[in-house]
Amino acid sequence: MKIKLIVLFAIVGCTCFAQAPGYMGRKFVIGYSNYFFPAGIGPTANTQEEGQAFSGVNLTHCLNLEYVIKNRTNFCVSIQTLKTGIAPGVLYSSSTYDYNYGNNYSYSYEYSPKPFVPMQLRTFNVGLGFKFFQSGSLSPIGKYKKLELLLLFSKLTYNNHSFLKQSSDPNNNGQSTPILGPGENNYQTFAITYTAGRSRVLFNRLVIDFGLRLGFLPAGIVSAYLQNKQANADRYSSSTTSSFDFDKVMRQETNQRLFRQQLINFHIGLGFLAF
Amino acid sequence: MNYKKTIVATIALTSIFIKANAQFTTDYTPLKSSGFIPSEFLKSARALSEEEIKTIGYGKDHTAKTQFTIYQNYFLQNFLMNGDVLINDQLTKYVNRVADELLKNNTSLRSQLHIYVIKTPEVNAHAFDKGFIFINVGLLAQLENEAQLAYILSHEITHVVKKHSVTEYIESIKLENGTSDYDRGSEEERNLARYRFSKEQETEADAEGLNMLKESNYSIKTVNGAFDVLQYSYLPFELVDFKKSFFEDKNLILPDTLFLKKTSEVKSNDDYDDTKSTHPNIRKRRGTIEPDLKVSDEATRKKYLVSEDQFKSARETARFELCNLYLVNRDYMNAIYAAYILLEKYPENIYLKKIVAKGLFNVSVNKSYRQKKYSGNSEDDNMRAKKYTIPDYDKIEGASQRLYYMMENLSDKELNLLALKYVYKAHKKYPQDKTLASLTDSLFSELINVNSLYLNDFAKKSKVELKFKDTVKVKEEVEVADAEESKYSKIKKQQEKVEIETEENFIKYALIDELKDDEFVKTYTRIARGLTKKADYVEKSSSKSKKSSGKKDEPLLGIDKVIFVDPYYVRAKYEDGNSSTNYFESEQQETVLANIQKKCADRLKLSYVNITTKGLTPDDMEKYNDNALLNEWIGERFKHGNNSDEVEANAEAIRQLIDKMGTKYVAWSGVYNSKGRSFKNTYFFLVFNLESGNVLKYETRTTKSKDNLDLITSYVYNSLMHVAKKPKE
Repeated sequence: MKIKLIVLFAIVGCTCFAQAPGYMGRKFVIGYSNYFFPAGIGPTANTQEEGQAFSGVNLTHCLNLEYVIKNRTNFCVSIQTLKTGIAPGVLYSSSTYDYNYGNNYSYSYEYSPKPFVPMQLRTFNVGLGFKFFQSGSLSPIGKYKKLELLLLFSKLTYNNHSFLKQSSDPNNNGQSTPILGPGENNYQTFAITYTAGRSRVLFNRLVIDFGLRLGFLPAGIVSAYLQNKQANADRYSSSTTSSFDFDKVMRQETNQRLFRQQLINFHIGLGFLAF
Repeated sequence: MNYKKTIVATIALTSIFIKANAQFTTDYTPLKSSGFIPSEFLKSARALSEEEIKTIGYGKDHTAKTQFTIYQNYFLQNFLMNGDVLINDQLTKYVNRVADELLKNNTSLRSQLHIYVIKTPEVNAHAFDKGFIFINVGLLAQLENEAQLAYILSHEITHVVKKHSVTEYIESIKLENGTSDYDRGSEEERNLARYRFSKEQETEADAEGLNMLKESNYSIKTVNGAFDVLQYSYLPFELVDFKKSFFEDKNLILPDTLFLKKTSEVKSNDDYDDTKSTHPNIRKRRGTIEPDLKVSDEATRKKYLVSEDQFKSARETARFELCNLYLVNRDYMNAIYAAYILLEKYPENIYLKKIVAKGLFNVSVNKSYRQKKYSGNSEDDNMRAKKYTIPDYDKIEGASQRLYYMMENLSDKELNLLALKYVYKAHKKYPQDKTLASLTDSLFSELINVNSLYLNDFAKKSKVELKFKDTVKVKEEVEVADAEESKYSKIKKQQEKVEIETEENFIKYALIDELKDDEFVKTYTRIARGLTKKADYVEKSSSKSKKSSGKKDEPLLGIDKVIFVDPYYVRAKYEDGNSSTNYFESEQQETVLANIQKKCADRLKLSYVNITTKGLTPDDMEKYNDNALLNEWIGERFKHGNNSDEVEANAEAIRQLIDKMGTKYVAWSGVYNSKGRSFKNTYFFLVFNLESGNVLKYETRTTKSKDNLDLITSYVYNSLMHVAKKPKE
């Protein structure tokens, strides 16, 4: 960690340009931003309805620290928290052909708590990035583009008694409620975000900031790809044994949820010029 | 008793005349305003506009009249405050006396008029409906007598009485709208219609002006002379043969090839095409008034009603002033020629010698740097190096053509040496003069660093001495030592012989006397060794090389105190391809920008001196003059672009201002914000070193955004930070 910090400060130190004026000489901005996007196909943490479309808004709270390092460039550190829900529906399904008997069996696992409460996904994100203000402007005023690397530390909590297994296997026919997982899983991943925004300074102190952020979470794509591949593999499996790996499925669900969550967000923020 | 009175009057008049001429004998100080600032200068354009708009009424042309009122008031306010207008000076006082005589019988009209002389070299005068009449110095310098001035005044007064400006403006709007009596037609046709309308007004002013003149006791037949003045306004105020002896002495003999044997005659075309002119051609103007020129009482009328002496003194003053105005306007050839004419009359006048010195210097530095690429860091057209070129002598008429021809045909080195010799001679005569000393240093530097001429390149003996040596001694020496002499020595002697016998390389023998002068040799040595610390050229050269290092790292200047001149602010609107200025908002924003500058300067602990024309009181004439001087300097400096090698015309007055203000740095900034489909915002900021003329900082920022307070504040702070912050050791 120490080495990482040293490297970080070395990068900032090298890029830091003494002539950058900031605003009236103030270069350090502390601010709060809220990133939001309608829930749509991803539920919020408090969604109570089941289905494919959800109402409500997913919110990310963000504490920003920005420092003007060049005339048109800010170095940004942010800490973000997000609380949202995952409603995976069917977690896993497979159909297995038994060559010995010529039968086709199907299995599926579903998360269906009663009453419905989605899995709770809390993420704590740390962002490191740069804001580049448009030509002619001087940081921190005007239109900007921000590139940020987000490190996402996620905690997924769920009721591990609320899983429902359905099987057509004659030996294990019907429904059962297996206990799956410890009820809480932790994951880490990263995302790259691009923001187009605009900031202004009011009363020589307050900084208002608004814009649109697009995020790309590589793990989300990988997860979707792997999930799809797994599904295809299971379809033609000759084994009667299920290849259901709960932890892996949860990770994939989390990544995909985070992918959708980070994909597009509006933001509005308020900060002040500290020094 | 009468006899005694006549003697006293004669003595008094003679002494006045002698005194009048005495003021030009040794020196001349460029005109400055004095006394109190008149109340018409101090009224706010906004207040005036709002007041006048109420009186327009709601008849037809209400909108056009309102627009015109606002435009005229703001234009006039800027014009009155930019410093070109002279207040309570000798010329303005004299012109007003003539107006008093002209309107002796119409005091109510006289009281509505505000007549001023403006520091502009063009031969022209103009009037505004609000009663302002401006007579250019260039016109006064050309007039032959007072009656001509009276006619020109009566012409301008007619424009005021007939409200020609507003009529023309309304007609122009009507032309655009298609409601004019003229056909709307294409843009070209509309422009022609505008010219026709303007010409009608000028014809009316000529005729009515003549009627006004007839009501006075001024001579009418001189009116034709006034048209002569206008017809030949492109010529210098006198046609004096230019003699090469002006630059020559016993060692510097300019070859005859540098002088035109015959100069081109002055053409007398008064029937030129005036289709695209606001005024009818001179032939038509003469023709229009000719029938009315005959008056029965011409014999009792006079050319001078105020005073012939006062006229001549005023005209001479205008001519002296004109020399400086030519320099300010970068018309160096006319400046040198005008000074040459006056030097024939006042050979000991240091002011005129300095005009010639500055003119020669500026032409010389421009010629020497012909091949040199300026390395300024600005990509903006406003500050790109603008090289001065001598106007083509073919296009010059009259006696001054010889000067143009000579200057054009002198090589870089020859002109450099000619200028050095002239300036050094003046410097020796006036050793206390800092401008001449500085120019000498700079010309030495140019000689060594740019033209690669060293003292060894100049002969220490005259051609006559060398010829004698050549014919008598050298022959003997050669004969005796022929066998022992090297081939190199023989080559040199051969070259020397050729030079002696021809006029070529005349500069080689130009410095014989100077080379015997210790000060000359010492100055050369000082410059050659680079020991000079503040020689302008050296300072300028070094600053240029700094600039060429690139614009990425803007330099920190570490300046403690800066003079700020009134900022420029325009908010305009683009509609249908036309731009219209919102004058009220622009004026308000000027104050906002000035306040931002003050706030940012305070925060940066930058000492802030504001030379403003806002909120002046009648007692603030000093501030008015300071602002005028700075405006003139900045205007002149802009003409030089990024080329800071030229010397500014008013270097002496600027030096005094530097001493008074305690700083040699001046900053000027502004914002242009336009709203069309989107906003476009352009901000600029300049810092000059008044002493050297260097542009220390030139910053422009363009964004497609509104000119919000925070945006402008951030710009201003950034600019001032670079000014105030000291560079790291």
